[in-house]
Amino acid sequence: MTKKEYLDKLAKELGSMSYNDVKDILSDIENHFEESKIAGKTEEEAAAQLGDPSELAADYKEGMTLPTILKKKEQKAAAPKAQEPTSQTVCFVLLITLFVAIPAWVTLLFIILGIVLSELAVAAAALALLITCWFYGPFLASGLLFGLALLFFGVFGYAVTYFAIKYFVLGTKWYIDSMKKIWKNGI
Amino acid sequence: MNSQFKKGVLDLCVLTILAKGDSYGYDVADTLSGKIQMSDGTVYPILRKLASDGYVSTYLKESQNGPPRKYYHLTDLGRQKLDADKKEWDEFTKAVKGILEDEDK
Repeated sequence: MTKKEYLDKLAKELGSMSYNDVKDILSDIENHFEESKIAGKTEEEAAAQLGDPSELAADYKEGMTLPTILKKKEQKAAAPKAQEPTSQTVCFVLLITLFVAIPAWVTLLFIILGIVLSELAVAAAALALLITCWFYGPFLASGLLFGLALLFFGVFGYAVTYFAIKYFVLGTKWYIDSMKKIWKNGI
Repeated sequence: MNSQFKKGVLDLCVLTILAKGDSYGYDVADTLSGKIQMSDGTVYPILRKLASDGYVSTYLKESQNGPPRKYYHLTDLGRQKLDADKKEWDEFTKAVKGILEDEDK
């Protein structure tokens, strides 16, 4: 068997191993052929002394694949399993969610809705006032001023609304995440 | 010789050779196959397994007349394993010898 035939056969027999493993092994055996050549052996002699390539492949597989699989299995077994939540955890999460989180969440939701609605009302009033002032000259100066003030108040209100909604959403997410964590890992 | 016999002790032989000094695959194979009847190829899976278990480390070293050689070096862990395995082997062979001699009588 020539070097090429030997390596081809070996590669074929190693087929199930990872590409990197096979590359590494083939390079080791190829180097063995090179060293044999330097020592004055022909490729045929070197191949004969190396032994049957399928036996060599079997030795490699026995040495590498099986322990690797076992190691992976052991690692899997050793990894902390996601435990079933204890009854204490379930009670904690359910009670907090039902009697604290949900009422608080609903209250906050209504407050935010209230802010948004009053915001709309203020904006509408400001707009109406401005339009009225436009048509009825005499009130112009004071009415315009009042209208503008209302408008600024409205803009300020929008900023407040924006942050209120933002933190409301963030807070909800945070709550759900932390409850999930507690559910998984216990209190 | 029975191949099952050999398999178990070849690790020990390889570790012993490496305890004397770093060596490369062909050299280890040559040394061993000169003393024990075995295929040259057998040492390579053993070296690979010893390396993956951390008993030996490897490094490349240029060679004068060929490709760079992969040298194997016995780690501290490998030395511990060698000592332990050797002790076990000595006890085992002593026990086997004792049994065989008893049978002869």
